[in-house]
Amino acid sequence: MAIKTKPSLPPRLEAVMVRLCRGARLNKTQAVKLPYLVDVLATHHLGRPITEGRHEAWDYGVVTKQAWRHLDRCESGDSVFRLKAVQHSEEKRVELLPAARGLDGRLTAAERAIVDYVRDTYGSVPASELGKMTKVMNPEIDCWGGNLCADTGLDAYDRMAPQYQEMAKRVASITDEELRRHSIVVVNLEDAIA
Amino acid sequence: MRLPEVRQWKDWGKGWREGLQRLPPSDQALINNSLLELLKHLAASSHVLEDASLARWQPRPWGVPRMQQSQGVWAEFSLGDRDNRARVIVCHMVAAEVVYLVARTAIHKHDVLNRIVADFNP
Repeated sequence: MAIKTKPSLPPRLEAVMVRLCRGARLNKTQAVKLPYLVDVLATHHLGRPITEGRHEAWDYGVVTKQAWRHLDRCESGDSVFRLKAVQHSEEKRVELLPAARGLDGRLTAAERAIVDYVRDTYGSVPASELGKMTKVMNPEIDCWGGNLCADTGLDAYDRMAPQYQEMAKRVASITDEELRRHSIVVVNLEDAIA
Repeated sequence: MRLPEVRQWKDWGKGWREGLQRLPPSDQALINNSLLELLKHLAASSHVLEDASLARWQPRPWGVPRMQQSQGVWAEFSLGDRDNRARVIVCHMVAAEVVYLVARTAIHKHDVLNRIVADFNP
C-alpha cells in the first residue's frame, strides 16, 4: 500500500505561516487564506511576493494550495504545525511546535512587518469573510473552485482596500429590479460626477 | 446605432466625496476629469466591455458573486493614474440599451503599512 507523504512547504511559505500563527489564534481555514494577502501586499510594497506559494481560486475563496495540502496531513509527519480540535466546531486550530522557533528568521525585517500587519489586521476575521474578501479581490474569476491562479498585482491590492470592499458588498446585493426602480436618468453628465 | 440611456443608481455617490477628499486637490481633479471622460464615452458606447473607445479605462468583467443572477453585463473601470486611483462599477443591460452607473470609490493606500515598510526601505 502506498503511503501518502506530507507535502513539504516552500521554506518561505513555512516561515510566513509560522509568523502568522505566532500570537494569533488561527484556525486552519484562516491560516491557508492569509498567505495570499501577504503576497498581495508584499508585491505592492516590496515589489515581489514572499511566500513562493500558489494562490488558487477554490470554492470558498483564495487558498494557498501548498499550505492547505501541508496542514491537511501535518499530523502524519514531521511538521512544525499541529491541528487541535476546537470544542463545538468543525474547525481545527493551528498550533506551533517548539521546532517552529526561529523559522521566521528566513524573512527580512520588511517582510516580517508585512506578515505582522496581515496577522494583526486580518487574523481575527472569520474564514468565511476572508473568503468573500478574496473573491471581491478577483472579480474577473468566474469559476470559483476551478483552481485558477488568483491575482497578486495592483488590481488585487486596490480591491483589498476597505472602501472598495464595502462598495463591492453593497453592489453584490443589488438586484436588476432594484436597479430599474431606484435609478434616475442622467440628463447632464457633469451632474453625475458631483 | 442607438445610444444607450445612462441611469444613475441611488447610491452612485455614496462615500465618493469623502473618499475623494482624502486626496490632494490636484489628484481629485485628475480623477474627476477621468470620470467625466469615461461617462461621455459610456454614453456613446455600444457595449461596455467590447467598445475599443473605452480601452483606456481598462474595462474588466466584474463577476463578484451576486445574491441574485443578473441579466446585465457588469464591468469595472479604472480612473486616474498609477499613483491616484479610483474605480467605477457599471451594469449594462444590453437588450434594454441602458447603462447603469452603480458605484465608485477612490483607492487609498494601506497608510499604516506604507509607514512601516518605509522604515525598512530608507
